[in-house]
Amino acid sequence: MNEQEFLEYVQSGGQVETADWMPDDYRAKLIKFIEMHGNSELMGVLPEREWILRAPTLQRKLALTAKVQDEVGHSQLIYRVVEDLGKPREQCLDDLISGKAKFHNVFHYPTKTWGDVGVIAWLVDAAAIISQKALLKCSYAPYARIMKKICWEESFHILHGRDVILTLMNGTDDQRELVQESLNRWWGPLMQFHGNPIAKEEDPMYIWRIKSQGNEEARQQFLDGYVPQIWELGLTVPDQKLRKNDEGLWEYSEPDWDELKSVVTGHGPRSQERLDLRRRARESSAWVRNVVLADAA
Amino acid sequence: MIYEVFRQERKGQPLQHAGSVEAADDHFADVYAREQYGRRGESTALWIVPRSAVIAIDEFVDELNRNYHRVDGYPLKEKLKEARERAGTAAAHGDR
Amino acid sequence: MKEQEQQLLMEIADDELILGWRDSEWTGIAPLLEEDVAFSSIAQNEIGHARALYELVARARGTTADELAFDRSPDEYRCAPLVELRLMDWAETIARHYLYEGPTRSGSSS
Repeated sequence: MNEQEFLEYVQSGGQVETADWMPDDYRAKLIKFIEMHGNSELMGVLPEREWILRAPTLQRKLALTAKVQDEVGHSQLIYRVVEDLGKPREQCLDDLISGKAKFHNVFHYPTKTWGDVGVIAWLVDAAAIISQKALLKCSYAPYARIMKKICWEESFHILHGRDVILTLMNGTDDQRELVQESLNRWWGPLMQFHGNPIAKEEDPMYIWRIKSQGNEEARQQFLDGYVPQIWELGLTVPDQKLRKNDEGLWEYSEPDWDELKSVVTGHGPRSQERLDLRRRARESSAWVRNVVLADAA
Repeated sequence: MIYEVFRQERKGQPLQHAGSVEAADDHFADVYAREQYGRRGESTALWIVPRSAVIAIDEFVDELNRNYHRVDGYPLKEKLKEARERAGTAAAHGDR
Repeated sequence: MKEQEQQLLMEIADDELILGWRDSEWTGIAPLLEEDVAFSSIAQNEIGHARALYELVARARGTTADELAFDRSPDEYRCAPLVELRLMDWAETIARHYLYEGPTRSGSSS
């Protein structure tokens, strides 16, 4: 098979396995995309684990611990897929810590209140699950297969998020204000999350059918699903322009693409602090990996 | 060592490949696989196998075109149409 | 449930809660991803045990497990000093776990 035949194959729904021939560009793009996902799961753990120790009840503490555990589990599955494509896990972690590899914008921001814990599980995870559901159709089969388990577990996270939010919204005025304040801070990053509206025909990820939907399509799906959920609770979205037009498309203020670029290149409010934590944790536990995995090398 | 994990969702269903875990030995592989693929009660059974023990077979050659082993070796549509016409029952079946 | 029985349960529950609390701190930053997932389940089990025991005592006292777990002053907790140690070294964490499991498996000394 040559590159053109491969392209036609994946564009007509063909699936690729680990041992199959694939163009170098496909493999490289695949590794970069999947690696970023693994990095994001691992970095997403950090803002949330701060709240395990501050959860208001035992039930919430357990649910939050289980959620974070799921995310670590996802990163394990994802890095295994990258490893089988040719890039070892340790190298992925090296590149993550050095800033060479990226992770999603939302995980570069601080979590300031318990309201954030709810908003992240409810809305950030919702934005993520929309992308992840589209990945169920990824042309690279091993990745598509692990997405099934990942999507299944993510649905629990959204339930948890909704439960936290509804409990707060049914509480006191202060609690409702907590949620609104949180939403006001997270709305910008949420709107940037799916990436700039590059036409999918120009997006190499879509061309190779690694992604099966365009960025704008994902964002519209998110707004369609979740703005009504936000409004029905009496919350407001901090965007005057947000509305659904007569063609059924959501109109909104242009997200700050400069902020997105700056954040994902490591200049977010918590980027360096979190990478430092990862680096320190990794350095201090290197001896464990060396001992335990000695025979596995 | 890499261990492949196969999981069974419910009794009676086939075991399907679910991913892999890296572990130092069988004991750790057991623990890690249970955690990754069973902590939410999503599997009734798991099989874990060192990747080195798996023999992968993915090339099947049919130089003699053994279509008698396949559905396309039995072209019934035209013959059935002809038989129905012969028996005068073609109209009842909407044959053109 | 007699006061003596309640006290015993509270001692065990406090051990499990604080140990589980400490163990849960490794979630996300354990040395190996596979180990991270496995150890987090251990932490959740410990907290789950604590909760089950608190609920028994809570019923006898007309309160809730959460109130027993969260609303006492530090000196009212009856846990062993061993579980309170905040250890950010994996070797110490595992060693503590090994020592903790020993006595609790063969029966409490008190």
